Amino acid sequence: MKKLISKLYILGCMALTVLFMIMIWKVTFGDIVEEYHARKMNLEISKISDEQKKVEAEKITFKKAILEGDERIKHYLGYRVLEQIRLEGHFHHIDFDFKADKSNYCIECHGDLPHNKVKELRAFGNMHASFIACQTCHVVLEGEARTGAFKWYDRETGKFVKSPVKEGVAPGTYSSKIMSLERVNGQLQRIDTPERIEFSREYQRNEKTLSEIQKSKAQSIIHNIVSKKPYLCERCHQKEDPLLPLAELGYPQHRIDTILSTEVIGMIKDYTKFYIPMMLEFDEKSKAPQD
Amino acid sequence: MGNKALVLDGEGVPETESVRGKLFFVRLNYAERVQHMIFAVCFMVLVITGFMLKIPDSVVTYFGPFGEAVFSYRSLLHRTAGTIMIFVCFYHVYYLLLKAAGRRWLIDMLPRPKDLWDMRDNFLYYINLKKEPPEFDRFCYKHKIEYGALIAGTTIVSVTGLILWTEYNWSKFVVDIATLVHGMEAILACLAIMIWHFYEIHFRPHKFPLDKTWLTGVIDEEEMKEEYALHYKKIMNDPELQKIYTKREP
Amino acid sequence: MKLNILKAFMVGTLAALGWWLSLGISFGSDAVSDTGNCLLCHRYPSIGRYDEKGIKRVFYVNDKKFAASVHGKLACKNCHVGLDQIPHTDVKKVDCATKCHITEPSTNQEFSHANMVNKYEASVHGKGSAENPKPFAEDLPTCKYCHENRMYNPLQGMWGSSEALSNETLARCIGCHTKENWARDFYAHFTHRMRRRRTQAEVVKLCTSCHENREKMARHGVESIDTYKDTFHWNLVRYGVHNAPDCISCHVPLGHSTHDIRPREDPVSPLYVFNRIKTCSNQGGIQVCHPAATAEFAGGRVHAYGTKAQMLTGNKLKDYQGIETDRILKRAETDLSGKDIFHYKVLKFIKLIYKILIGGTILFMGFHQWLDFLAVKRKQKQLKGLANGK
Repeated sequence: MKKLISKLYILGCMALTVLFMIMIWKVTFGDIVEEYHARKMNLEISKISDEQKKVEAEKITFKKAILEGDERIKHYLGYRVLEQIRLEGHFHHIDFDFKADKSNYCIECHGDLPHNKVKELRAFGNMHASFIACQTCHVVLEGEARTGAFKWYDRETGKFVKSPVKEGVAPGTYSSKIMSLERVNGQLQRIDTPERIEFSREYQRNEKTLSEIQKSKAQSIIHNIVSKKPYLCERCHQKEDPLLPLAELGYPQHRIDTILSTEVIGMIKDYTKFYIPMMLEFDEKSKAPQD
Repeated sequence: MGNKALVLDGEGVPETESVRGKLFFVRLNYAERVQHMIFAVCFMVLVITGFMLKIPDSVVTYFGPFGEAVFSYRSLLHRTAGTIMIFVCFYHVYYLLLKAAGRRWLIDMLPRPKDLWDMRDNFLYYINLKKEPPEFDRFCYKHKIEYGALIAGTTIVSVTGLILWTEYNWSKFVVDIATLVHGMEAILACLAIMIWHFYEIHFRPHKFPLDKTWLTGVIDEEEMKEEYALHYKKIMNDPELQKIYTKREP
Repeated sequence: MKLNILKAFMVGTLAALGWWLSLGISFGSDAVSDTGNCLLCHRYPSIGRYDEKGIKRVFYVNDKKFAASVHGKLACKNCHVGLDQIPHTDVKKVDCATKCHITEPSTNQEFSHANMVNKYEASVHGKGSAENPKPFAEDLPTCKYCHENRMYNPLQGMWGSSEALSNETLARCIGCHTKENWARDFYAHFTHRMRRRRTQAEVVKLCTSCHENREKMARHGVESIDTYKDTFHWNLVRYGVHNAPDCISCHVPLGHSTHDIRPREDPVSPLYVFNRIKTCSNQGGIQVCHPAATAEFAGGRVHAYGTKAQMLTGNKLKDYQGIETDRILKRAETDLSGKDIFHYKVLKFIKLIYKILIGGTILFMGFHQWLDFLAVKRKQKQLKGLANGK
C-alpha cells in the first residue's frame, strides 16, 4: 500500500512539475518563439505580391469551404440560448434546425438543396423540396404505373405518416414530405422501393472501386425512372386537374383554394416581369393556419 | 523517529527498541519549524493562486458559471497568504536579530570562502574525480544558495506585490515593471523550490518519499556523520554545543 | 458563499422562465405585418440555394422570431426596397439608413437609422466620405458584422434578476394603457436596452475577430491587440467576473457611442490623454472600476506595447515590408513618444535579464541535482557491494 502511495506521489509530482514547466516556458520564453514565427510569416507574406495574396485568399479548398464551413453560433438572449447555423451576413434569426431527410436516396447524392442552374426556378424548387419528395416531380408516371396516389412520409424514418397539415402543423415546419406511389403488377407501392434504395446505397458504398463503365451503368439504372422533363409548376397549381389530391393529403379547403388560386397560377404563367398585385394580400379567411 | 541514513538504503534501520538511547542532532528547532511550516503553506497557496492567472483559456472554461466566485476567492486567498508570508518574514528578521538561536543561525548562514571550495570539491566528487565529498559545517553551500534565493525572492515578490496591491499610488510605468518583476521572480522562486528544494527533501534516493526533518527537527547520528561531518566533529568536541544541538532518546 | 446563492437563484429563475417559455408564449406581438404576403414562399426553410462558392444562401424568415424582434412591426418592403419582380432580381441591398415608414413618437417624423449611420461613417470604423474614401475599405465592418436582429427578451428586471419586478411594473402600465399588447411591446422595447446583449467575453471575441489580425490592422496603421490578452483585465473577463472590463468599458465608456469611436488623438475620445482619468474611474456607470484613479495611474497604456514599439526599437524593420506596414510605421513614429520607447526598452531589458536568470537557474540547478542523484546512487551501490562482500 505504501509503495502504491509513493508511486502515485511520484507520478503526481512529475505531472505537476511538467505542467509548471510548460507554463513557465510559455510565460518566459514563449514570446521569443511567437515573434520568430510571426517574423517568418511576415517575411513569407511580404515576398508574395498583392495579386497572389488575393488569389490565395480566394482559393476554395475543400477544407475551408466544406469541412470548416458548418459553424454554429450561439446568441445568448438572456432567457435562452439561440443556437443556429452560421450564415454569413444573414440578419434574420433562423432558429430552425432542418431535420435532414435521411430516407430519400436521391438526397444522398444530390444534397438537400439541389436546384441551382435555372435562375427563375431554383429558389422555388428548393422551397418545395422541404415538403415534396424529389420523385414526386421528377418521376412522371405513365400508363398503368400512374396512380394519382400520394402519401406523406416522415423524414427520419421513411415510414408513411399522417398528414401534418391535418394535424395543424404550421407550414414550413413539416417534418414529413409528399411521396408518389406507382402501380406495379396491380399493387400500389411507393416509388422509392427497398430495392431501388438498396441499389443506390450499394452503388455509393462501392463507388470508389468501380470502373468508369460500371459507374455509368449503375447511374443509368438508378436514374432510369427519372423523366427527362419533370412536372412543372402548372401541373399542380391548376384548377382543372391538379396533380396532387390535396384534399386526401389533408389540406383544408381554404388552403386548397390558396394553392390552386388564380393568383398563384397567374404568377407562374406571367413570370419574369411579375409585379406583385395587391390581390396577393390575404384576407382573414384565407390566412394559412399559424399557431 | 530519525531519518534514514545513506547506509542501508533506508530499509535497514529497525524501528524497535534499538532506537532507545539513540543520539539525534537538532537541525531545526521549534521556532524554526513553525516558521518553515507557515511559510511553506503560504508559498503553496501563493503559487497556486498566482499561477491561476496564467493558465490557458481552455482550462478556465472548465470553471463554467463558477468562474466569478473562483476568481474572487483566488484573489482573496492570494492576498491573505501574501500578508501572512510578509508577517512571517518580519518575525524571521526579529528572530534572527533578537533571539540567541536566530543569531546563531544568521552567523552560520553567512557565506564564506569555504563554500566556494566546497562547491568545487563537491562537483569533483560528483564526477568521480574525488573519492570522498567535502566535510560540511552546519549549513553547506546548497543551503546558503537556497536561503539567499529565498531572501532575494521573497523580498522582491513582496515589494512588487505590495506595489500592485496599492496600484493607484504609482504611475503606470511602475505598475508595469512591478507586474513583470512579480511574475518573473515568482517563476524563479518556484524553480528554486521545485528543482532544488524538492529534490533535496523528496527525491534523493535515501530520503524518498519524504524527509521528516521539517516535522521532527532532528536527524540521526549516521546521517549527521555523512552529511555534516565538520559540524558533527565540532559538536562532539564541545559540551556547550552538545547541549544545543543534540537530543538523546530516553 | 453569497455569490453562489445569488447565482443559483438567478439560474433557477431563468430555468423556470425557460420552461414557461417553452410552452410557446411569445413576446412582442403575435403576427407579423406581412402585407406583401412574402411569407407565402419565405416561410419554408428550404428556400435558398448553394451558390457557386458553396456558400449556403438562405432566404427563410422565421416569422415568430421576427415578430419578437425589435424590427417586428416593419413590413418586408420597408427594408428590402424594390421588390417588384419574382425572382427578386431588382431588390436593392438593405441600407440601414433607409426611412422605414415608422413614425418615431418623439419627433413625429419618419424614423431611420441615418443619424447613426452618418456618425458611424465619420468614425474610425467608417468608410470615410465619398471624396476621401479610406484605403482597404473592404476590411471595415458593416452594420451586419456586429448587429443581428435583436430580439426582445421576455419580461425581466435589470440584469435579468427579478421577473416579479417586471410583472408588477407592467401591471401598473396596463392600468392606464389598457391595450395589453401595446403595453407589452412598449415595455419590452425600452427595457431591452437595460440589459447588455453580449457578455464581456463575447464583446472581446467580436472586437478581436478583426483586431487580432496583425496584417489587417497593419494595413490601417493600427496595432494588433493580442496584447490585451496579457493584461489582468482579460483575466477578469475570461473568468467571467461580473465587473470585468472588456473593449467597450474603456473605448466606449459612459457618454460615448459605439458607432462614434474616434482616434486617440481626438479630444472627444475617451482615450485622449486628458480624458483618461474619467474613463478609468468610470463614475456613474454600472461598472465600478478604479474610482480612486490618479492622473498618473490612468495615463499609461493598458494593452502592452506591441508591433509599433517593436518596429521602432528593433532592427526588424527589414522584416516588415510592403505598403501595409508603411502605414503602421508612419503611425508608430507619431504615436509613440520618446518616453514610451524608453519604457518599452526598460521592460524588455528586465525581461531579458529574467530570461537569462531563469534559463541559467534551470540549467545549473538541474545539472547539479542530476549529478547528485548519480553520486548518491553510486554510493549506494558501493555500500551494498561492501555489505554483500562482508
